[in-house]
Amino acid sequence: MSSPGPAIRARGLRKAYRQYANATDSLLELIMKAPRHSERVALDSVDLELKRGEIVGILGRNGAGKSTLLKIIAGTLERTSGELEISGRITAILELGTGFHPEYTGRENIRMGGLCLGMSRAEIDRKIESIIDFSELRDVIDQPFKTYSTGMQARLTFSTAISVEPEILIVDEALSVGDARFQMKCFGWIQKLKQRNATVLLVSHDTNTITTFCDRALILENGRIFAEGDAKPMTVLYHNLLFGRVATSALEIAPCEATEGNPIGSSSGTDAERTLDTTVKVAPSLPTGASASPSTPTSDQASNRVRYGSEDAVLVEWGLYDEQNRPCSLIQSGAKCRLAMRLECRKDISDLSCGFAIKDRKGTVVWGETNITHAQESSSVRAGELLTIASDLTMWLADGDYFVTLGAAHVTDGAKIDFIEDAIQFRVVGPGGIFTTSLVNLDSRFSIATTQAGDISAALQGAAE
Amino acid sequence: MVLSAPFEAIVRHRELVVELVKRELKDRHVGQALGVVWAYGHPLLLMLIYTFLFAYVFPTRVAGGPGGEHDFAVSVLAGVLSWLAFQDVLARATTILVSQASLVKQIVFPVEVLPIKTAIASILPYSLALVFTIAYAALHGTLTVMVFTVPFLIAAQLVAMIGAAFMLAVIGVFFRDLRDLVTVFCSINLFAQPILYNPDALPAVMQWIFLFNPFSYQVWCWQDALYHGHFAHPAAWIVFPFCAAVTLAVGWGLFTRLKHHLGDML
Repeated sequence: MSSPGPAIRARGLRKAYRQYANATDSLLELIMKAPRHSERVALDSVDLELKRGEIVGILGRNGAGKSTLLKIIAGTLERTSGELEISGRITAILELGTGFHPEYTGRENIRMGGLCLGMSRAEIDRKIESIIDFSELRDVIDQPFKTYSTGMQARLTFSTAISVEPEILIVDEALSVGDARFQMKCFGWIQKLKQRNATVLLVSHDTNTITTFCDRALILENGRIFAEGDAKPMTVLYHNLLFGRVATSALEIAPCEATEGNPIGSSSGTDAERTLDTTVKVAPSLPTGASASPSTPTSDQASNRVRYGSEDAVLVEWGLYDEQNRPCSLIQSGAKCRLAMRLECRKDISDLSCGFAIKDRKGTVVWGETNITHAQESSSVRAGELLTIASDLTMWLADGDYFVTLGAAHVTDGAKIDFIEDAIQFRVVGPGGIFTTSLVNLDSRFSIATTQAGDISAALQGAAE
Repeated sequence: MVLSAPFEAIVRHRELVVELVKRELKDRHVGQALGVVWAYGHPLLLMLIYTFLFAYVFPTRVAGGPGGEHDFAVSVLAGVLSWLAFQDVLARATTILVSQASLVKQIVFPVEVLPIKTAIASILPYSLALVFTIAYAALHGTLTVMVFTVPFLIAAQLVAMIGAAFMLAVIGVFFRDLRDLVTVFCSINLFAQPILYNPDALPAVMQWIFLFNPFSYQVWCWQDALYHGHFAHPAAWIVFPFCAAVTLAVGWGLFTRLKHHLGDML
């Protein structure tokens, strides 16, 4: 593990699937040496470098080439051209229950799965108890694998796969089927791996997972690396990409800067930083303070804010205001304030839902409110109307930076009308005297008192008086 | 040397091979009351049927050997035994990679283990039938010191079977019709070997067919060991091991060359 150099290094990786019109063509081609196929390019000139002890997330829509890339790195698929260097024991969790036989018990499957993953029998015997403990399936371990639920199968697969103590771990969405608690446990384990200097490559559609656990993320699009950089801006950019209303400037900038300008993840630290800088520039920049100026879609694109929707109605003005209705971006925890936005309707909308969501730095939604959650009914509006939507708040969040997402959508089919991610940024200055990692201000008073014997309620009673 | 590579693979992955062979024999009859008994019992039953047919239904006495007349059933059993074991691996080999596609595709798995375990799992159940055949030969007085060549014949046949398994397994992925071709070949080939025929009453054309069928040499060796009791077909004792070695070399070469493309085809 201590050997220097990157764990995974790829240069100009390319994969083209051969498509044969006829079943026998593949054999004929091998014998005659004359091409009889058409090609479908799944990966094209992918450059990649993963350092030891790094957790890197891969984002990309279906068919972007994520699984192909993982399989090539895992060694189960042959690349068409390009260089690939891998140093370290590698384990891939690409699919649930591979090598697992439904008729056999969990215990038998652990043994077989372990052997298939390259462990010796002695090694498996040594680890089997801890594998069972990790999977939390001790009660059912001697029952056939086919009787397990999908989540339980995932747990057994994951527990077995990680027991090989890999130096490189590749996970392809296998975790998403486990319940939240098991997922947390797996991520805890992945963090431990990271501390032991192992490299983790993670594919997930859950952008929260990526922002929380990954040091870096990259976006694959049409078999190329579209952008690469810090996890948070990448997830925002990916979201933008997914919902179609992409800031075209980002589309144009990203490929030339990220994949052609300078090779991504070059070995020197300064280069890596530069790459990071350029990609952050590509990603939407966050508005500073409250934006009170009317904003049109074009100006949003210019500032690379993530915005999408059908534009049946358009958000034109928004902000966070203090008690005197002045725009503010700095709020004392515990103070009253008001979120507000104006919506200009361009069409009749009979099922309007609109509201606000506050996210913390990791992208976790810490609060949200819409007319649906507030009054359980949608609003009906006519074209040409201008709505002012506001929510009065007492800021019980603790010290930190927060972002407000604004949105309007149809209730019936969930179609987005106008969404602006992270439209407002504000900072809360904390109540003080509590953990700096606190998420909320619980308006607490701390006390220590010496009291006589007796139960705690009596003691508290006494303290109150 | 090219021939040592497959054996190195066996040694390196011996635990996996052992476990997979056990698993395959169990899997074939999983959920059945008698389970693995069937794996061993099935060949033995076939042997009993052939014995019944050739010892009682069509009793044939053939002149030959030092002991005078011999029970022809021993000759049939020796030939049928070797062919059935070989046929077993031929029938299974074409689909092993396709049916285990998830193993081949999804995890870092030594694929070469699959044909090896199929060959071993095919030959192993015939051990009981072999014991029966040797006992039957002993009972009918055709057994000589030649019986000590049996381990060598088993080894040579296993080498040939592993080679054939490599070949068929990898070609079967690219050319899926192979499975049916092999099935047809197997039903014909039983009659294209010097197994069921009385050599005293055979048209000349069959002699030629036998000479050109590589499987005949294997049959002749087994018949020499258990029936004739001496090297009645000396050429076979050179051709059979040679062919076995060539099969393995070609099979391994083909397999290692094509295995990188497996991921694309499955």
